[in-house]
Amino acid sequence: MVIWIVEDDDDDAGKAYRVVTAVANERNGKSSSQVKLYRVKLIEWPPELRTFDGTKNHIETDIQKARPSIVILDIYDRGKVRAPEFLVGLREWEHSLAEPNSIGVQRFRSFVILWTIYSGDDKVLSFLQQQSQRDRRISYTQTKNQVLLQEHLEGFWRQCDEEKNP
Amino acid sequence: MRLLLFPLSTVDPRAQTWLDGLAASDAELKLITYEKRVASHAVWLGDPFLVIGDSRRLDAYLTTLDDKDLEILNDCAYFWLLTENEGFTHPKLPTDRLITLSWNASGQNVVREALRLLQAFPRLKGLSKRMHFIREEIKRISFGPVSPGYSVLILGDSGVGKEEVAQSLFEASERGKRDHVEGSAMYAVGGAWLNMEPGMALTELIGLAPNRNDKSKYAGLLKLFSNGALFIDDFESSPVNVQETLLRIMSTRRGMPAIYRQVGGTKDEFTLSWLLFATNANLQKLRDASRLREDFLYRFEDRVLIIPPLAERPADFPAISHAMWSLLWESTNHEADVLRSSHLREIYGRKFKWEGNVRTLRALFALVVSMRCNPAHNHRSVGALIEMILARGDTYWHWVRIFETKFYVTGQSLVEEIRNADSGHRCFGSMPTVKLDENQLLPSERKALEVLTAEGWSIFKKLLSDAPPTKSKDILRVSVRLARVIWYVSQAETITVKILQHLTGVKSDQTARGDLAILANYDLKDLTKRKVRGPGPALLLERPGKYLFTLDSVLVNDLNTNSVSESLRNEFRGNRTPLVDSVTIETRTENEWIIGDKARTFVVKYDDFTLNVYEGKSGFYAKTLRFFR
Repeated sequence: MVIWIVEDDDDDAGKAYRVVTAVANERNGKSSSQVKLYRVKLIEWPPELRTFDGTKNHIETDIQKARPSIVILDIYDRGKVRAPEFLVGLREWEHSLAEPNSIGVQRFRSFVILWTIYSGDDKVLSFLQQQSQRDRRISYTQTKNQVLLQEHLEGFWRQCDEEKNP
Repeated sequence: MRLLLFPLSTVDPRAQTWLDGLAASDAELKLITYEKRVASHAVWLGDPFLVIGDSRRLDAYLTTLDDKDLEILNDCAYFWLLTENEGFTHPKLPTDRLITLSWNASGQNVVREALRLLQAFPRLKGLSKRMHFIREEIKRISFGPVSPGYSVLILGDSGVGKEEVAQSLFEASERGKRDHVEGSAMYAVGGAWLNMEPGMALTELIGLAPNRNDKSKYAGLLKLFSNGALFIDDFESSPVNVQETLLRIMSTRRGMPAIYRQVGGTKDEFTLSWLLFATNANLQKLRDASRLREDFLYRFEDRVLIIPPLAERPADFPAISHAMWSLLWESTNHEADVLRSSHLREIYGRKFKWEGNVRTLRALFALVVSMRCNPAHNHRSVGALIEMILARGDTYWHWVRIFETKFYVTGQSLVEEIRNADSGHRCFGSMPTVKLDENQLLPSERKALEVLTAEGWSIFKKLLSDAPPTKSKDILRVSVRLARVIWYVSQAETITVKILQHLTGVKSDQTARGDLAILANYDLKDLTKRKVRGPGPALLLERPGKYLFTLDSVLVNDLNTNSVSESLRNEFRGNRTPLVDSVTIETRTENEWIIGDKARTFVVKYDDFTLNVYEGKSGFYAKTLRFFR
């Protein structure tokens, strides 16, 4: 299970990290895969991906080697809305990774949690609603509440696990 | 037509030749090969399948299948094993049909004929032996002569698919294949619909001839579908004069047109309409109550099709589920989610009676699909939604109450809904503890009052007077804390310490456990209106072959081996469970007991707030049922 935390704020990235580790512990035994966590500090595509232990940024990693299962994506970076471009970049990149197999073409699309505060910004709200309507692998939380993030993360994690079954 | 192949190793060249022969014999046959790891899920994929491997591998494969797999496998008429030895057998395999085929012999016709029969009736989805027999019967009946004298009776509960069987009968008959002949369609009508004013019902059937005063005319169903078929569902609901008319039509010399006269008619009319009848009624009772003429039934001779309830056709469950699921997604604008074997296992494992049969199954899937199409539920998996719905109970009437919650529309979880309910009521913050005032109940307390019985509410009030004052800054009074838990438990099947903490804002693990202990002790769940019980130890949950007990005479905090053991003894001795025979209780460890009667053995384990009851002595393979943990 590869999870990206795309978050400019170090404190929030730390919170997300704690949620991910809590869910990973909770699902320990239910989920067969090992968790690999990465952080993207600048919300831009292509991302600069680094391994992450909740506090410090670590080794820069090639995104080709860390295709995400779940992306926790903040909307704002330094006060500007940057998530839409990032999301477009992510989806186009994932589309390019499609691999032919015996049945047809195997496509990869990560689950994306838009984890943000959007109060008062109609454009952002509209973006969130449109994205979640168009793409069922995207959800958004109404605040940066850790409980909400945990609920969404647990849900997508379970979907990842269920997709491994025929 | 699909046949799924599950090679358990590299396919032997002889097996490959055998498969090539099978594929070459039918251009419409599509062979789909799966990886070996998927073989253990084969029964849940809803398609006919062939497992390929040598005897050793087949033996190992069959050994890995669990009880649910085997129930379906044993009922399935459309799976085969392809191996080197046609004499291969296994204790877990049924012996009533040819299953083992040898790749050294040309036995492809066994598979081909079964698949052709399956393909001939696309409306009938099941793979069970019973459905296979019904297909054979439909073939036999429909390939024979069809006319009023060869009427067919279809029996089965509501929702078993009687109309699909009637349609299949008609489509398989020579009439169903005629496209451009007037009146050669099948028309379905409900007997209850004909239960109008008797004269009108008769007119509907036999038509109305014009007369001097009234020039209007109506040909009647028998005439309109003279070259087709008339399917009369719930025929026993139709008026007696209609039944008598139908009886006369059925009494026609077989293969000949039936003669009748329209209402007001002066000349004979003829019909060749094939009459297909269906009912879910108990024919014996109808006959005894004189609502059905006995001679009516004799006319069906050997043309009676009996469709058993869905619960009695395990191998139909996956195939029908997949068909329903695809159909439901077709009516949405979304890409369909995959219905996975884990989802079907979860549902099948509940051992529902499926009152309403296929309709109930469809209703369940419709709820799931509907929620999956709501963006508010994007993060919830199909499995999670199925679990949430099924946690509400065993029937559609339990599931559909999910509409009562905001959860269905907003995706807001029950925990969020409950947490938010009291906001704005000044119940948060560091205020002095206040006792419960029935005139000024907060929303969660009102909900508790609503879901609890009178006895439950009085216990709830007593419990509050006994409870220590709360120290939590998040909550004003203990009653709100407990009321939230009761609300939650009334909607969900289980509650955990963690959920209680989310619900109430209580951070202390000990306090949360204490709350659960209090509630477990008073067993408020069973005092809700969903299920009222008498005093004494209670059976909390009962599903076929599975029991979960509460120990309400023992304070959970103070549990010790003796008290648990004694409670369990009382539970069984009091005959409060279906285990009415005398039972033996053997202490295995200080918190584990083996309980058995003549037929069954359970392992009961106690840890923290869970009393787990496992079926079978090993205690490993049965599902754990838990209430408090």
